[in-house]
Amino acid sequence: MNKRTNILHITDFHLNNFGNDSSEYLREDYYENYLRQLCVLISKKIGVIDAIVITGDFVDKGKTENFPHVIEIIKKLTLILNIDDSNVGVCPGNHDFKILEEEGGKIVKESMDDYKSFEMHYSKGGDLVYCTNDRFYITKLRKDVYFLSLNSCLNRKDNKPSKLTNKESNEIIASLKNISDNPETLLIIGSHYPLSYFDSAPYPDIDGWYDHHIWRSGLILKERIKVSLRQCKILWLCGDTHLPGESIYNNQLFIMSGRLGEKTRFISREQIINQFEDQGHISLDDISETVDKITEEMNQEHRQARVISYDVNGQPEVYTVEHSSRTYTDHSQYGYWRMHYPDRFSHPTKVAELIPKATMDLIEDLDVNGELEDLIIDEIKNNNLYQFNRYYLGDGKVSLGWISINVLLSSNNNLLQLIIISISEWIKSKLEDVEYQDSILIGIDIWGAVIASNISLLLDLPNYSKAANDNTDSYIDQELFTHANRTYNYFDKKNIIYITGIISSGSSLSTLHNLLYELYDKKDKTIEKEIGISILNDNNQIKNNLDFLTSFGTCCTKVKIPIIDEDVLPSEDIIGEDI
Amino acid sequence: MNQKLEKYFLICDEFIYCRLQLLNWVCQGANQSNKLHLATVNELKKVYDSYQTDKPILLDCRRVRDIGNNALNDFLKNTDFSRKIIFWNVNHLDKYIISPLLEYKIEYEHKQNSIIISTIEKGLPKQIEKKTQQLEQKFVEGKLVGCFEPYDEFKRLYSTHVLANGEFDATNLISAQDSFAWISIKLSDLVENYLASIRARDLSPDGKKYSDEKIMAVSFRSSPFAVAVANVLNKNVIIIDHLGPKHNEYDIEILDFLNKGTNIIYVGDFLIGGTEVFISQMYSKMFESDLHFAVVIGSAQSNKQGELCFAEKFEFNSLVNLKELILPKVEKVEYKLFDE
Repeated sequence: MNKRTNILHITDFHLNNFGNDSSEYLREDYYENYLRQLCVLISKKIGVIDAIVITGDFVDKGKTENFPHVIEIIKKLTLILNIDDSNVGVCPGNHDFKILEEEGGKIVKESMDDYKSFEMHYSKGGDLVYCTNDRFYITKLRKDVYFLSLNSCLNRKDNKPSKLTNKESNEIIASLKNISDNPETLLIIGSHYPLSYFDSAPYPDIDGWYDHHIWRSGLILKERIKVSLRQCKILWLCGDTHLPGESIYNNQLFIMSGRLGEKTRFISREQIINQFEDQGHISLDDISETVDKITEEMNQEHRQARVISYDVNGQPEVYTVEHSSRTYTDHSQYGYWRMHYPDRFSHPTKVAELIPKATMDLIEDLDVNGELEDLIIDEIKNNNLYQFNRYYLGDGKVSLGWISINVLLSSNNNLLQLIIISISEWIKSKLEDVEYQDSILIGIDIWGAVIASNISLLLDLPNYSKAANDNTDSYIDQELFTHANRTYNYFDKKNIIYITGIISSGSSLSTLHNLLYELYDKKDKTIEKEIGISILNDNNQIKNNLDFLTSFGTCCTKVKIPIIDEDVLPSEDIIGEDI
Repeated sequence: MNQKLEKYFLICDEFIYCRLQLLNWVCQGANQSNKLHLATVNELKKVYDSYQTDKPILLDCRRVRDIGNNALNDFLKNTDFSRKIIFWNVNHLDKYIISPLLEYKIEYEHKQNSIIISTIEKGLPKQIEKKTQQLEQKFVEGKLVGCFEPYDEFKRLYSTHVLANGEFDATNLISAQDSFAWISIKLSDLVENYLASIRARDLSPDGKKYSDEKIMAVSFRSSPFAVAVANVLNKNVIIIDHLGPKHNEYDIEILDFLNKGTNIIYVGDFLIGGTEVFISQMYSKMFESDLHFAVVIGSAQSNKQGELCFAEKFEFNSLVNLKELILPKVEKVEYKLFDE
């Protein structure tokens, strides 16, 4: 990207009554004024908008006859912002389907036809559509900006988000291969229902709120997309809840925005208490404070538009533009838009710090010259240790390079000792500001265990050796939680230092982190500092959610080890197993 | 004050005892363990000044061959030696110690391969060899008892064909610094004794002359011990990353670095059925080398000969006979095959 990329996110128009007798914000005689004020503020404070994403509930309660008005409203927006309809991405909400049959307040049959016609006005009706069916489609909104529209309401039952099948999930993942996975690319995913729990969600659950508003089966996509697209930036946008929320997970940023339309609603404290009492699961005495909190929260307007602005380095800022009224009962025309100071997020592309050669006098006796990294490179070159071929990593990924850490560290005793002493000194420097003895070393796999056991003596710290095998999670589980009862007690140290030979995707380390996190939680303990150390690390490869590491050091970053999708390689049938 | 070295000293009524090589390893790193540097001396001074103050310190200097940059001088010069210190098995080290003693006019006695420094009384403890061996053996056995996990009923041991009433977990032996260091040093003794014995006969058990000697390990939890033994004895190590929970098929290439005609010495954690030794023997054969000798921390076999159904026989030695240990809950460990 040569400049900032600005994405406007709006959601939940809930157009019910477009007529002038309505008090809806998007009513015929007010929407232009309302949207112009918003757009002027955005243009003035942020600049040009590159794409708009609208995440459903365009109309209210299946009133699909309102879609022409919605088109009119969006047209106004695109005109003011000088955006083409093909730069607009939409996904359907649960209110956007025409209700054909209803029984006891539950929808039995509904039609998508009107929505389908409506969505063709925007990017889906353009030329750059890659795949499409009722569940999803992928379009290109602009150069390097793709849009995956998810229909989280398809075939829903009992007014709950629908079930995403494995087949559908596979199709979505397969279709994402159309997107070039590189740091320049931004993939926006629109889903009406949020698939994550945000802090703003009500607690305790009222009337099955979570079941009705969180797309649980969509959560699988979050994990699968994380594995499929490691390089590009991913922006999830959703609506439905009328609440704001933000979170970041590896290279995926999640934004949930408040509604744009609908009239002001006020829910009284009594109405909320009645809801609790109707459910009968909480005593009124216990919830007084909670009711106050929920009343206040539910009466927050959260009438919002958000602008997600990516800088040239791909780091996002989220601007929240919020419409405020003086009182709950104020007529909308007395309200005004204001922009909050932007929230800044950092996509964690964890880069390892290079561990320098130790400065101890003993190094002279080791008969080694040069910096640690150069010595490792020399050893790899001299022993011809770099092999270029296809090495399957699991998760559909292939590493094109392989270096035998085993041979590297076995072949030269002095190099191993230099690594041990250098890592020891580096760890000491990283533990300067904490209670040093409240730390444990974890050696992962054979050479991690060898190095950790030696550093354990030098630094006078306990260590735990651990085999990491991604394919046998149950074994890891067993080993950590039951098999090693006697070492269980070690795991109350505040600082954890992971030592491993090589980090390719980082999944072993993050799996171990998750297990330890769970273990500490069970023991009501907390981990304060986690330090990761590897002998080799290619900083160009995005690591698998290693943002939990407070420090990440490596002895050598110069060796490039490309990791690519298995699918992009030619078949072994054609060129054989060895490349 | 936290004293780094205290945990490594073994204590009896007459003295506190440690291997100088072990202390060097802890303070300086494994392949600097045969040379005494200032880093060790500084830590040793803390032990001398305050730890178990009424007992003499006995340091076995076996395999320590050098003292770097007059590292002992300041310690000798600034200590009053009201507490006795004994450097035992000094071998080639005597000249490095005696020279500053003479320079600083410090009283000492040099006898039976020992240097005794004290202003009060000289003399070596009686039966020093036997007592130190007993201390070491008791320490290792205690650590093995401590890492035993009794089962409620007989269960299959992971990746073996054997059922057992409990399991020795080597993770615990690696985790605690004192057990890891002492056990590695003791395994090194066994390997060194074996090498000395074949050198005395000037040939290997099968009469071949070997071009090289290498330490081999094939399991995850054996590897830290094998690498430690290799570093302490200044040998090369071969780790076959192919057994145990982590299978890494690409690393068999490590065997490309095995010269033909290498005498392979297996170092392992526990020898129950002997599968790992036999597999190591098979790999060695594939690369025209031989494995005749294995050392392990604990063995369920008592006859020191592998006589199970595979390949060639091998000789082995272990620090502890597992069947002789008195264990919690089960009292004695028992092993049996599935059909027994």
